[in-house]
Amino acid sequence: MAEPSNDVVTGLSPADAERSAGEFLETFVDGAGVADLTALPAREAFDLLFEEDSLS
Amino acid sequence: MIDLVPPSASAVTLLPFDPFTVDERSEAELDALPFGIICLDQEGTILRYNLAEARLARLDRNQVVGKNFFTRVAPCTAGPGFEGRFREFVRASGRQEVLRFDYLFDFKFGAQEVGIEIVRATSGDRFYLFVNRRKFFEARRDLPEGFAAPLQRELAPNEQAEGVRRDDVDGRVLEVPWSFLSALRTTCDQVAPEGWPLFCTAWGTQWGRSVAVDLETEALEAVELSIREVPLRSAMEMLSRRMAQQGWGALRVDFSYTAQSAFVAHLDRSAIAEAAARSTTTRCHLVSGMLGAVFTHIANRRVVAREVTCKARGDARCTFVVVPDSRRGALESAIQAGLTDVGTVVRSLKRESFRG
Repeated sequence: MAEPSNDVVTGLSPADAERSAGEFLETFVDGAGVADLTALPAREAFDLLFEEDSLS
Repeated sequence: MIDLVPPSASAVTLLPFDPFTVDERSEAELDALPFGIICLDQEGTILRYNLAEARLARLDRNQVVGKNFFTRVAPCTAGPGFEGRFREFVRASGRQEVLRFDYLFDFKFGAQEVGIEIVRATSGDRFYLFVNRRKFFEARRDLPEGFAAPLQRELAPNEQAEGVRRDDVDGRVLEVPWSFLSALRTTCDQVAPEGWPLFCTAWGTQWGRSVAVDLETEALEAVELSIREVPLRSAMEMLSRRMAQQGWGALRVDFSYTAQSAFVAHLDRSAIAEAAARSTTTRCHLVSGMLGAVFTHIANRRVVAREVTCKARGDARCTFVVVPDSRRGALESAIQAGLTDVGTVVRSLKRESFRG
């Protein structure tokens, strides 16, 4: 884990930092829908599921 | 949950309950609303006074309940434009209707343009004032003596001698040494070790709802916006500043993981963790609950925070992963599995979600 910087807020693009807090967090929650892997092509689904275990 | 009332809107229409049943609502329900609510009897004696009103009027409700609103607490309302309308409303039949008008509240620390809505409780002899702040001004000069509302220290002089301390907006504060928290932890370990996380998370959630009202009133006074409308960076800085002022530690928020539907809050020098000293488990459940409630208020959607690393357990700092409630189970499973690296926890959430 990276050492946190001394800034109160990190990891935001300048545009996101200026978005309203409510709008940003609404999008954060609403965008967290669980992906339906069965609707994806098998290769894409397996890529998503196992991308951290990639051999490459 | 309810948003801050827009300046031109009606507070009554945005209530999460029938306004005529307000008398049946608990103190906690009224305290969760980000606008003022004052209950008066027919004579104008204050019977109830919610948290937002106390914060924005900078008065302690323990000092105003039982006093006459028009003569003792808000003398600027003692005239035909406010008290006169109220008395006429009281004399009218018990029809269920809402009396609406605008007014300017004069305080010695500033003037506030407000929208007033008055409803008669179904009991008939109690009246509720809904107070929606619209604009804030400098204190008006050259007002007649005794016209502006008294300051808290005028309502209750000599409080310092009575052992009462107040913050810069006259809210009562209590200074406790860390040994107080340490004693609480020791007690919980002895009496209900299994219940500690549950109890403290729920306690923190309740506390977080009050913090959200504090942030709403602070944002309203500072920029006349709801905390939800304030830029994200500023909103997080307000929360961090409040925690630091109260001595909970230094809060920083890292949004690097939002693409994976999580973000991270770091708390350096957590008062709770340092009070707990060495522990085999995480200890800052109170902060988890508080952060979850504050972010839930801002998002207007349910969000949870859980502590992944804790200084009490020997980690460098306390770290909380924040996720939508839909991922709560996955997050708790990851923590139970002993994952402590934030990146690993977040990746595990993704997998759990796909499996779910």
